[in-house]
Amino acid sequence: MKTNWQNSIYYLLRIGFGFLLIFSSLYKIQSPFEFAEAVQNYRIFGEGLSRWIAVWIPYLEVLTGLFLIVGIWIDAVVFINASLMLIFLIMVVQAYFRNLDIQCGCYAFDEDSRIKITKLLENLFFLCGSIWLVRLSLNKIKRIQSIDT
Amino acid sequence: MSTIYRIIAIGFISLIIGIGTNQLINQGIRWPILLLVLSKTEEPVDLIYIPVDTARYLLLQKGAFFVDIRPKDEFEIDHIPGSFSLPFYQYFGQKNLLKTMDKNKTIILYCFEPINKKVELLAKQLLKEGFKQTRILQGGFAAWLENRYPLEIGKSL
Repeated sequence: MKTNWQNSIYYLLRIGFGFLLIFSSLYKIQSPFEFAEAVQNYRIFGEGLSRWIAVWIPYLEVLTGLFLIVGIWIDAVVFINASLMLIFLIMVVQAYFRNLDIQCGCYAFDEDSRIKITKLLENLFFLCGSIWLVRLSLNKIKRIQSIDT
Repeated sequence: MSTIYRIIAIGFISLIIGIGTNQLINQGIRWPILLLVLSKTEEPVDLIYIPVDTARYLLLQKGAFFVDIRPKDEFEIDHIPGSFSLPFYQYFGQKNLLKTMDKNKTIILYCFEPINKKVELLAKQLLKEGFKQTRILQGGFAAWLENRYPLEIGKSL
């Protein structure tokens, strides 16, 4: 019974994070310069590195999202997903406490995406979900390995 | 394959796809711009801003070549008379666009906003390519409009 319930949560989280990552990468792929500026606005990375991040991260999100949905290399993509969520949370938290009046650059460049406490909570929620997904996947892999042996 | 190798592989593949796609899509961050970053060791370039009234004087005297880096559709609505439309992304896609230009001629770059990273990047690139008289319009096209200076409508020559 417990396994069935965990299984449903596992698939729900996988598909949910998969679509979330793909959705959030769309505008970044369409407007890489704007995304690079958004990254630079966090004042962690310089102008140059921000542009490399803008070239790389959206495609990492797409690939991770696709792999999560389809179920390829799950052991690796759950860790990438959790790492991304952790990095996003760190960036948002430091911007919030430094009182940076910037747009989050998470999904789109609109006024609503400015960093507020709700954004922090949203990112924290995603991080918790992604860690849970890592745990569930590791359990699943262990279970499969024990059946094999 | 162990998990760590898979993580590295996904990271590497996405970087390759990212770099490749950015060379192909219209608004992509192209190689020259990415490499501009790596060449941080070169001496810093001093960008010169030109006040809007001086720019207008130069326009009347035909002493400068105005380059509008906004997208073509924005350019066609209105622009500084006689300016050449060179959208930022297009320049890095087809670098030979200004090949026939006299490198000693004053070039005034402008975008709409008073401060625009794309203008600064293109100015740095042109200076690097030997266009020593490259300038940036202070206040951008917005300042030109504010001063109610003459405008031109339509396509680039």
